[in-house]
Amino acid sequence: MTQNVKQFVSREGLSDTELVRRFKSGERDFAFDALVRRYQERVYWTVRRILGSHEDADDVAQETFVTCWQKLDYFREDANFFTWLYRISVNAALGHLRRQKVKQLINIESVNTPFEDEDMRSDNDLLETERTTAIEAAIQALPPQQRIVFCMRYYDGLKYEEISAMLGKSTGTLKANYHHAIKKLEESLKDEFSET
Amino acid sequence: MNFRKPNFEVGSESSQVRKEARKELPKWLHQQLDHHNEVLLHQIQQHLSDNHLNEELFDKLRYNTAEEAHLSLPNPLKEQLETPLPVEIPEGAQRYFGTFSDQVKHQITILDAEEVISAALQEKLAEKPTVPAHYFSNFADTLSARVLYLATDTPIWLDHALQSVACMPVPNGYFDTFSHNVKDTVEAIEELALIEKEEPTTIERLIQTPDHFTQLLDLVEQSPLPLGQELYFEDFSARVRQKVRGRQLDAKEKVKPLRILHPAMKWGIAACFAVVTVTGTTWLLPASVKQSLGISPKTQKVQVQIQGKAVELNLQKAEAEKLSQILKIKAQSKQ
Repeated sequence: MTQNVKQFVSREGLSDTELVRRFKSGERDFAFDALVRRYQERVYWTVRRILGSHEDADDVAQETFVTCWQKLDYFREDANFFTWLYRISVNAALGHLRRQKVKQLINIESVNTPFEDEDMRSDNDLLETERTTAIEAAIQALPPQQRIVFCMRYYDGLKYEEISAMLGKSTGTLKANYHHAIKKLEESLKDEFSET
Repeated sequence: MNFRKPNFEVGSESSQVRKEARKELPKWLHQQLDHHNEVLLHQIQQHLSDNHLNEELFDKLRYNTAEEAHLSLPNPLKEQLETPLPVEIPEGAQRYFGTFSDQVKHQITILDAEEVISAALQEKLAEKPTVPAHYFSNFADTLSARVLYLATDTPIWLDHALQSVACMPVPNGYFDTFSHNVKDTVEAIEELALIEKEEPTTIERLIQTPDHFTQLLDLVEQSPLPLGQELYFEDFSARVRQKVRGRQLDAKEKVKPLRILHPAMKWGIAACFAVVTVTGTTWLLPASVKQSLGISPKTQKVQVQIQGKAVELNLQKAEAEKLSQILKIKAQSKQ
């Protein structure tokens, strides 16, 4: 037990570069476990916002780390580890969206809500749930490219140049995507939030 | 959309970009989006603490690794066998190769006897059996071909056999390892060939002898497999068991097929049976009866003299007519 704690503490103290080096030199489980613990939330966060459901996000987050495990030996470290991992996660989410083209327009009732399993809900909770559902549905109703560009820029704070480098689209196209995305969100949500 | 080489670090200027991004939205919208973001973050943290992503992930990784190893099993063996052998065998190794080569030849003879090696490969082997390097290259080809051939028919045993070969330690250099692997593979193949010879192969046999199959599966499951492969093989066994159960059910259904036939089909079968019976009976009737019924016989009896003895031949009508004509011509020419 003490040994485990020591190992955990020392593992948490290691840099990404050191963990990648250890992975490549054979301490695969040890190093990878640390990297997963460190980044699972951020990866999950990225794919969950793009995909809109926990089930899909679970699958894609796993797929991201499986790809990471398979490719980490070839990672040339010309970017930091998370940048590389982020690219994998967005790529995995894109792949998932391509496979689910038929589900582009998500039924508002199928969108997960934070309080759906709770029996006791106050009026405020119900209102909160309704609004969350509306926002989630509005984001999920965006075409995949607009949705991804919106999430990458609005939530993850990526510059157009960075998104362009990842998606292989011109910055002009991306600006148009972002502009259309926010216009659509505004249009979808203005009635819901007109009182606020 | 294709990814390119990154020349940036995610989030290096994210707070500045977020500020700019928000400016393009009305205040009420970015307030709601940000609020929703916080709710979602809380929800995600809760979800991750309940769902233990990394435990599932490591299971999945082990599963994938085992699956990849399983699917690519013949390849490492093939590569091992196809490793080019030295043109000149080191001094002192000649005797070893002589003995070993004899042993392998013996094994091949056994395999040949069971007709498991193609004629082309046999010929190839016969051409250069005395040059060890060539001999072994050919043998490797033979063995690879045999392995691939078996792989399609007997996955369970082959996997098991190859698994044991692929995981073998490398004790004393190239020749020892090579000979060891070949010997083991040959033994495994011999065993497989014997099983094939004694009993019908593939699933059919497994269905017929489920106990034997279960024992074999248990054997595979109980074997000390490399770390992480248990999950995959458990799943693999379960899939095969399920397949066998399915086939067993199919077999049961087929035992009494008439029970499940539609009444109209039953009548159809009865009618066909009646037609076949009448036709068959007619065909079996004596020629005299057929003639009286107005049915012309297809055969005709012809009497010929062979070495002074009268022999009656029952020939097809056309042949009998030809023979009669020949006999007539012969008789006329004698006169």
